[in-house]
Amino acid sequence: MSMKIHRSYSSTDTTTDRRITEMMRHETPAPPPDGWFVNKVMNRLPARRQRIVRLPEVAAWLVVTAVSVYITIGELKEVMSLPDPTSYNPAVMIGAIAMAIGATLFLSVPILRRCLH
Amino acid sequence: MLTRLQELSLIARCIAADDRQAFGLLVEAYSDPLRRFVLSLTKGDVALADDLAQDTFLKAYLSIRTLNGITRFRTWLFRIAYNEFITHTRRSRPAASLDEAAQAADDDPETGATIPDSTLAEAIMRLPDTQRAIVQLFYFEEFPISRISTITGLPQGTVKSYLSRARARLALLLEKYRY
Repeated sequence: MSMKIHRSYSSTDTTTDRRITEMMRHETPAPPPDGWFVNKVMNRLPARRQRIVRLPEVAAWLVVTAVSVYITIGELKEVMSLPDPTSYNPAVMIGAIAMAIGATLFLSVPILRRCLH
Repeated sequence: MLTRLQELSLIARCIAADDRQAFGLLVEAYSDPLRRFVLSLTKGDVALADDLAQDTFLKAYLSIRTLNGITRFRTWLFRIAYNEFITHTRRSRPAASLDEAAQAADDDPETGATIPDSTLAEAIMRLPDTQRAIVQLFYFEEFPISRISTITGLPQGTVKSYLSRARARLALLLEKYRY
């Protein structure tokens, strides 16, 4: 290994420095090899912080809610255009609203659980 | 040894994405020199050295966001290790200040003479903690005075002074045993 004796702050000490460096390289005890050292350090790292809101969940909720709103608006338009609104079967609209509520609950329950933890 | 660019890239991955694989690579790259340095500080106590080295990496991981771009990771890591050692020593020796102990050892001309050193390693082990750290950093790890000053938190003049005293003591040994 090369020795950078030019680091010395006094040129008169160069020979002594070189000899001390040589001796240290020869005599300084090396730490015993520990193949598990990196693993030991990695195992001591704190657990990753869980994000309260996760992007895929929010994205799925947005898609479901948008579809539900679209269906509900479509159904409302259909009701308005009917000459006799009482003849309208609200099953599709109720289904769409239920889907939006279900998606909101599906998202909010894990978020609440993470908040409480 | 990592290049400066590789080192910065790994640090950026750790900061931006909490990339543990990148941090693992940093640990792998610097574990040997750091363990060697801490082993020298602990005077050969392997178990304590490994504990301190692990604590050092743990602290480095927790505060890696505070590392500015100018400071080299290696210097910063050695500074944490040195501070960990100082904290440990103060905890186990609360009554005596490290500096006082070092000063006492330096002022006593008999320190080197009463117990003859047969090897350089023994002579280094008998140096006061601060001097031993400086000698190890300068001669073995090849840090310049300015970085040793950063690591130990001592002014450059003090580092030079400690190094000069240690060199004088080691030079005597070199002469005595015709190394």
